[in-house]
Amino acid sequence: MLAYATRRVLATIPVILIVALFVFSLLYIAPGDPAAIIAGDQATPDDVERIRASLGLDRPFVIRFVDWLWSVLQGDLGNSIFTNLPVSHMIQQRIEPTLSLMALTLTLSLSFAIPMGVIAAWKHGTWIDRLVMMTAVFGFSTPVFVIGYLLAFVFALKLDWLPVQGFTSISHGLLPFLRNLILPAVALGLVYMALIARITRATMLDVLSQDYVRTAKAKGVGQRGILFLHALKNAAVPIVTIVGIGFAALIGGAVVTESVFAIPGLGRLTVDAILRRDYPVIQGVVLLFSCVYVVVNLIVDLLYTLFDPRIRY
Amino acid sequence: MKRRSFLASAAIAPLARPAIAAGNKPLIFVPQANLTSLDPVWTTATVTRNFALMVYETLYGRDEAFEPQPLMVEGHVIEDDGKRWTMRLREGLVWHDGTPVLARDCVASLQRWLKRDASAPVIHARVDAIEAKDDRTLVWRLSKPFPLLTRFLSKVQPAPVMMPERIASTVDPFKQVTEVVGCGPFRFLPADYVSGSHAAFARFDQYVPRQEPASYNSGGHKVYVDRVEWKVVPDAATAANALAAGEVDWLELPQPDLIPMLKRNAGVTTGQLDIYGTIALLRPNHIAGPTANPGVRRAMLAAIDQQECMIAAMGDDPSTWRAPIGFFVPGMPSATEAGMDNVRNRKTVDQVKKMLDDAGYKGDRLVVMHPTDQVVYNAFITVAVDALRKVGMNIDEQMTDWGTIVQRRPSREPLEKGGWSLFPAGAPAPEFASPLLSNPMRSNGPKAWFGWPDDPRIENALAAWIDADSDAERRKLEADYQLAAFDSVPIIPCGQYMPHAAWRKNVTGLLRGSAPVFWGAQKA
Repeated sequence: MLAYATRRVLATIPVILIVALFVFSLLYIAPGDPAAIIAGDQATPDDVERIRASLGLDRPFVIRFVDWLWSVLQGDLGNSIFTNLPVSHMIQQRIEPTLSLMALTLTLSLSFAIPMGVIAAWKHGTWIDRLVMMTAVFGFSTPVFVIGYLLAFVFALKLDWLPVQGFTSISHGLLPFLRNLILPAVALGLVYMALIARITRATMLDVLSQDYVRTAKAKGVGQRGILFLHALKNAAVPIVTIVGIGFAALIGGAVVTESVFAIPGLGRLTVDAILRRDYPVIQGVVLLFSCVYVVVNLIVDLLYTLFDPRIRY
Repeated sequence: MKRRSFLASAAIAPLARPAIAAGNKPLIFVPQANLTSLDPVWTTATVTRNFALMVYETLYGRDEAFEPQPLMVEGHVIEDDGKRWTMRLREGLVWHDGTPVLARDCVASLQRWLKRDASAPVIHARVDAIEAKDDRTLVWRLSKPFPLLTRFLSKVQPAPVMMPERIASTVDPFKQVTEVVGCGPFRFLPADYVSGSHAAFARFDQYVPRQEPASYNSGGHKVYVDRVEWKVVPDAATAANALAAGEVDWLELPQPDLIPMLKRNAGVTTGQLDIYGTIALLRPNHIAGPTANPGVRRAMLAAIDQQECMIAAMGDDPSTWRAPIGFFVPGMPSATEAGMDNVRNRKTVDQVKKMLDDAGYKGDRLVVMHPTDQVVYNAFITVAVDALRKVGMNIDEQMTDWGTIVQRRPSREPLEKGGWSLFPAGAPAPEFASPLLSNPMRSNGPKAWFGWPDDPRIENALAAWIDADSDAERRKLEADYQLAAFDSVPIIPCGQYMPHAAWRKNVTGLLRGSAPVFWGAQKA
């Protein structure tokens, strides 16, 4: 197990290095000149040249990459072109709303989707199964922003139960925190929930037709025990896989959800930075998201061995 | 925790306001864009201009009629045949760090601004020195009379804002200041600022307002709210919903198609606060492709119906736009009739086609950069492109985002190497109040704004206008300027739009002008 875990951890290093190279290259692949952006509309070519030299943009690519990588390893992601603030500080300011949104979305999705998938498989072919699948199709096919507007219209404007927008830190109390975050989490979580529910249902159907399930039934194991102790554990590998893969969709969805609900998170920071071509911020956030994604998949890999000890790569 | 106290705290918890909203009845304002830069000398961003109006001051401010009025100064004395201006600072001016405002702070601030502002050559050509005679006296020694000096000192984009000498003389004008220390009626609260989310301002208790009634950025800046919070809401529908639900108090720029929905809400008022608005324009490239041909540019000007552009952008409420316009803001003394037939008498498609033939246009490709993420630009350039296609122009319409246009427009390359022919833009209408500050109209070739028009007639008219002795002479020069502009077409005007703002009914005292200002505003 330890050797397997070590191998998996070491395997992430080249992946992160490749991501870092790609992220750094963004600045040079993209059209335009960061020095000209910093200098503004009214700068002379001399001013632009001076800024270019001060940013070190006149040095060879490899040297700049090594310098940048060394700074990143020390936690220095550079400064934003527009705010002049350290990127790490900007990320720190924005990380709480995004983490909160993702955590709540994940909690809601897993709490509802897995039981829904299990029950749909158990009640295969009945109206319950069809209802679960219809809900899943709705979740898949409705864009996050449509669900977001719909929820805000009903629960904020018409019923006046919840706020239209904004974010309140958990440090100001659990209820205000949840009041602001519940609609965005439901909007973002619906597609994720649909994905997990469908995979859970399909995998459970496969597992429930296995011989050992029939044997368990013959031995008199109760329905709940069969479903949640025997079948679900054996169906866990594809479910965990889809949770990991779906995490990328969650990151993408967070960008839209944060805009619709005016949540000042990393998703909005990314969109704002892309629209303004604030390359140091884009680099910092993309690198962070990539690392998070790599780590999530590493955890998924490690979980495989927990659910199925036969797995060894 | 006991059950009873848990229930009590749970009941109270939903009432807790987020940290940003702490304080006594803060006025919550939704700006048109995210506040990214805090230096109004470094950037021309409109949102930074609005921020600067709160925390910084200029020696002179503009009133509602856009005339300069003393703001930080008591006034000025002109001597030595107009070649010596003495300005005396008002008594009791204090920086937000508690130190007094001194004349040498102002000299350092002006020097920093002059290194950055496009109007610097005009000023440098007339000013020998700016000196601090004593703590409250500024002396301008000029090489020749410069009656328009106060017009420059009251400009707002980029603004000659005053800051302490320790900042102004040490921060490179090509770098942003990181410490915000002004002497305006509001203090910026850096601890409550998260770019992309929110910013907060507290009333500056040591600020002594002038005694005159406030008129836009002049007169007494009396503050009636303890705290103003800016909340960035990027999605227009969400912002409108937040106003309707009473979560925010004032939207600077609601999307025009959401105004009817807001008008139906009993708790919301809509109206025009920005009485000047924005000039919608198309910028042709004067050095590359078919638009380098002035005959083609004149045909393009004739092909585009400004009224259609404005209806597409703002809807059919004529109180929110003016069209057709020339190269000055309608209603201003400069708004000459010279050449207005070019935009008032619409030509037929065949007539425009003939203009193109006469200009030698052979169906060459025009690269139009079309920003789909800018609501107003997207609307009026869609109409303009359709009009250009109808007259037979070969349009390569490249849909993109505004950020890409900002990156591509400095390119002076030919079209086949990534160059461009046309892009839309919006310029604050006050820039077009006279020839003085109209940056997109400057036609000084390589030194001009992207597109690089080169027309000595426009430049000569501007130079003569600056040194003109009388208003009558200026009116004549404005006519010359506009006639030259209709001939060389540095820009294609597409109308003037004045979008409505929206605010809660319990917010009163909002002032009209060309930017949102917070003095005078009260929240019941």
